[in-house]
Amino acid sequence: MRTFLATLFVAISGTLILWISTDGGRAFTAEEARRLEIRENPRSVPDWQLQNQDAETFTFQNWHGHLIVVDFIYTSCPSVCLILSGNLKNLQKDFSDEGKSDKLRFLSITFDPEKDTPQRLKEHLSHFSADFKNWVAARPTSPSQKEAILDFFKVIVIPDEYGGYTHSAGYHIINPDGKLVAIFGMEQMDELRAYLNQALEGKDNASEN
Amino acid sequence: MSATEVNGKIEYSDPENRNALIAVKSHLIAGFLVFLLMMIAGFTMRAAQGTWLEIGADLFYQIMTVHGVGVVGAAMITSTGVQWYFLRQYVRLSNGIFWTNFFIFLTGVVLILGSIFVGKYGGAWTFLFPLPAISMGAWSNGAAALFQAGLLIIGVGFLILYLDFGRAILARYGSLARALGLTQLFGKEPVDYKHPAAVVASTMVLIVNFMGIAAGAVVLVMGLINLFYPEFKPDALLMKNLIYFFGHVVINATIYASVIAVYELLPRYTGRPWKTNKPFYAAWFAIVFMVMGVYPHHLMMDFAMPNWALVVGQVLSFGSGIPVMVVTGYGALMIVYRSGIKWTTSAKLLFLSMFGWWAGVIPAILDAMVTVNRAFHNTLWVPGHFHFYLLLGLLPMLIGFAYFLAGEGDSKEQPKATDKLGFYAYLIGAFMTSMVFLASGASSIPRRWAAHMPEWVSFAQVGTVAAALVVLGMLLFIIRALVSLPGASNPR
Amino acid sequence: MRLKIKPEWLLLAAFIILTLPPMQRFLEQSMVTHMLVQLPALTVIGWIFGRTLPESWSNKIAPWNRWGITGMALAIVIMTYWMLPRALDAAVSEWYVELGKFITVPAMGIALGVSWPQLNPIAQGVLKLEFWATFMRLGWLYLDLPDRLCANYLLSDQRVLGQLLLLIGSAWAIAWTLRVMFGTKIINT
Repeated sequence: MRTFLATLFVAISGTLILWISTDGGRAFTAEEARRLEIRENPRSVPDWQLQNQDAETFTFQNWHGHLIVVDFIYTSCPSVCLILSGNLKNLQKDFSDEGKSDKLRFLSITFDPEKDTPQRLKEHLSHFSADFKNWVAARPTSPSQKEAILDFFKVIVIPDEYGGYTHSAGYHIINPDGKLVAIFGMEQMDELRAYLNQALEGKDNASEN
Repeated sequence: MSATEVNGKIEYSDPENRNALIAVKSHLIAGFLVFLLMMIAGFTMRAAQGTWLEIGADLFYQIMTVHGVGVVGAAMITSTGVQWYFLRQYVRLSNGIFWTNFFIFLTGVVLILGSIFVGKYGGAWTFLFPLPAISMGAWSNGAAALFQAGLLIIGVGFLILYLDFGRAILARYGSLARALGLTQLFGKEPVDYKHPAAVVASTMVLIVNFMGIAAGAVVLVMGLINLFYPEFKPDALLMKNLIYFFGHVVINATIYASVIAVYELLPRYTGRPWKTNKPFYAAWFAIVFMVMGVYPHHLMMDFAMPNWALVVGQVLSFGSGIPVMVVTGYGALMIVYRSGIKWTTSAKLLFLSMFGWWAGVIPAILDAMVTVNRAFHNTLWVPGHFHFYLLLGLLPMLIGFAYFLAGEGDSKEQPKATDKLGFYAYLIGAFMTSMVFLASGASSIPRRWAAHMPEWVSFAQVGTVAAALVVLGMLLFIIRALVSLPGASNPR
Repeated sequence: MRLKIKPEWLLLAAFIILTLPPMQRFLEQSMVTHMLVQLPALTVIGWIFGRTLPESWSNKIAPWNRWGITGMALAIVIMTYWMLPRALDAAVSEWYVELGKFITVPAMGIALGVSWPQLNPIAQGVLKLEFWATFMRLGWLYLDLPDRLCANYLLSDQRVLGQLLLLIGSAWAIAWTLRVMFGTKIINT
């Protein structure tokens, strides 16, 4: 009997723990967990200082009122970042036609600030024939800022065996109020497009009313 | 361990024996009822193809799914009942485990029925990846998952039972090799003519089903992961290999589990012992590998399969029926020859099963030829092949055993008229069902089609009549079983 | 001359070595050593410790753990938890999760060491097959998944681990087959 009770206790509390630690069976990996967490608890983005491809310093505060799509890159990247930036270019093109480009900003942050000088960031953008009007590539201004930024977005960067990096890849959406509200994976471009459309239109309606 | 002890039978207490008998009867009755329902399901499908019955295509595929999984399940649970009944006389088996498997099986059946008729799952019992996940709205992912979970649960139940078999066999014989008679075959021990055939057959079934269930445990979970995590796309060919390894092994093994009834009962009816010998051991040793190696005849149309695998599949399929068939068929003939056997319904059925097994090999071998297979495998030829085996090979063994257990072998009474009617209705119906399938296959009529083209309809109509006869015969058997089985005492 | 060291001290020493930050970092820099060296080592330490528990302790536990069922349930819960990719990630990134790992995994080992021998042989067999199947399933999964499961580990690492799991599973299956087919022992491995 005591065994039965003890087993029942272990089974129930164990199931509960597993249930809670997977957010109710919805997130099994760290990547899923960070996306889910942001969706449910949007967080205000601190006002970091970044240096853009023209070596000018700016802060997120400067972009208040814009919808911002952030991705993380390093310019010597041979694989994932190229796809990330390529997708971003497509997004920029799609949304420039529709007259929504004013309200939309693209930001590629490098996590390799020592190598990625403003000069290299500029080259990187030009590789994708980016429209500099609303696409900025930037680097953190100090190592501690870099750590703070990566921590905030929960982006994990690890060195790979070829001297480069493997890192969490995705598009991080910051809303006009300066809150991180959603993260999309590279495989979710359609969802991302729909989300941006809705967010931009929602804002249009709001301003019309 | 002295020789007499090795060959002696295990003694159980009276309550244990009574409980065991109830358990075996429960397996038989549950199995036969499922068989009957599945035959009615088969009849329904044939009638629908024959335009005598109007059912929707979605319902047809649900019935087809339940027919497939139901017959495999019934064959497993019934043949396991037969196997356990005889095996427990030679090694000490646990009643509790036997019942546990039975109830786990019933739980799995409930889940599967729910997934099919409530969840509308109709992706065939082979749950072939990636079909369960892409139903195009016919059923939900949950239904497909429930179906696979049901199979998984049934697998766990049988795993528990086989572990008990393994434990008991090892406790008595030390190793499976010795239980299979390999030590005798290879001259490490003198040949013991009294080494029980039931132990040899059970060991073989235990080995292959253990492997099959292990493969099933992996492949079912991979399928489940795919259902809920579609980014994970396992190699479809590997999945298919594992699924057919699992599926073919478990259904194939049922006939080897049931043939124990032939080894045990014919000696009773003839008064001569069934002697095991070297060819017998060699045949059963060979069949361990053949049962596991024949499944590729389901993959001969997959051009991506490596050629050597197809060649191995063809060779093993050719050979697979032969060893045990020859040894058993020859043994059965010899034991009956001039023995003055009394032809009870049970004895007739057991002999019919020998014929069904023998003759069933022929369409199987034709299908196993790569060139024929490429044209035939998606036709009704293949249902013809397995209906032949199951209706004329497996079921007669099972029903024959049920007659024995109902006490027919002991009593002086002659077979009743209803038994005779049942026997011949079943015999003719089963033979016709199989032959119509084979003829349809030879006329290139595809299998797994809900609606048939006008020129195929007459085949389906003949098939419907044949199925009706099978249902009639089975119904008579079952009424008989329900009337006389529950009260029958254990045959001495 | 033989040094008389109590086995408990050896276990403790092994545990402390594993907790040393350099050792910890060394084993956790790769998914393979994390999952196939560190976690099993912690489990084994717990297991041996569980086997050498003083008599009075085991007597106290016994009525709560008949047939070893409670302990097995506990072990299964802990094992399942550490099979979550995000749990492994969190252990690398957050110190408190790491602390939890160094407590719960040896605890799982203790639970196993105490309970496994008491467990019904049939249940042992079922769990063993299930454990084996988990090796094969995870191995397959790691080889086939297009993405990384752990943010802290490389895809190539995940692939190597997949191959190793399949290899270990196969070797285990062969060993098991040989023992059951030709060995004289009752299913015990």
